[in-house]
Amino acid sequence: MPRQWRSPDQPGDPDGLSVDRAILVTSLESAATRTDNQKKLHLAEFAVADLHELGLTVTPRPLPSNAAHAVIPELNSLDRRDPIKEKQMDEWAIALRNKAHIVYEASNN
Amino acid sequence: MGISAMSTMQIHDTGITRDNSSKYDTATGGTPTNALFANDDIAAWKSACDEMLLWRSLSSPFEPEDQPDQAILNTAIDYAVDQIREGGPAPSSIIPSGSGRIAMEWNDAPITVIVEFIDVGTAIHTIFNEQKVVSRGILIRNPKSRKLELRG
Repeated sequence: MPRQWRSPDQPGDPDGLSVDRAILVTSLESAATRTDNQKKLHLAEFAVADLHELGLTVTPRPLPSNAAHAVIPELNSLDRRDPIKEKQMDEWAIALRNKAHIVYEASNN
Repeated sequence: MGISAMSTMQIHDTGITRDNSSKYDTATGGTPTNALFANDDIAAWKSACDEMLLWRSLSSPFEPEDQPDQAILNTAIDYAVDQIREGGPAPSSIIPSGSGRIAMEWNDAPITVIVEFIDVGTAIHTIFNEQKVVSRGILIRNPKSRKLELRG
């Protein structure tokens, strides 16, 4: 889920939930590595078709440090403040979670 | 749009997961329906408490942005202790859910129950059936019983 909106200074993920585009990922290990501190994270994978099936979209948003970066704009912290949209987001999150599978497990956690 | 067929998502949270073999009563979110699992549940809850106590310590495995809020952790630990006393089924996973929150999840297809601790003495209790929300309420600590009780 997107990080919560707390204040204008702490907006969470207003643009949407971040993902990496698999076609631009050079290796699972690099995709699972945080760019700021090199720590490893677990990595899950799902098909874009699964997103579309749920009515979600994904938008490329490359970063200087991560060309593969993209966002799922519907899963954003601003809409999550609305109880009706929050409920829809929870349903999307559960459905997407059920379609995703773990492809890399970090060993340093 | 040039998006690849697959996307990957970094999962920032480590957490507690267990084999999902326990049963639960969705009406109460608590009472086990099969006593054979009771000992496993107690052991799993105790393990969860130990892990959450670790999260509260200086050796927490989380990055600062993922670190559960101390007061919310205390609420989650209190809930776990209550569930041990009451024989409640242990969750299949417990994870920091971002912004200082903690989420516990029970799965028994097609039902999923999530209790997300969002503040001191407060949690959101959601029941999904086939990935659709069928019930949502707020668990609030009753100052008399000192237990989280479902409202609304």
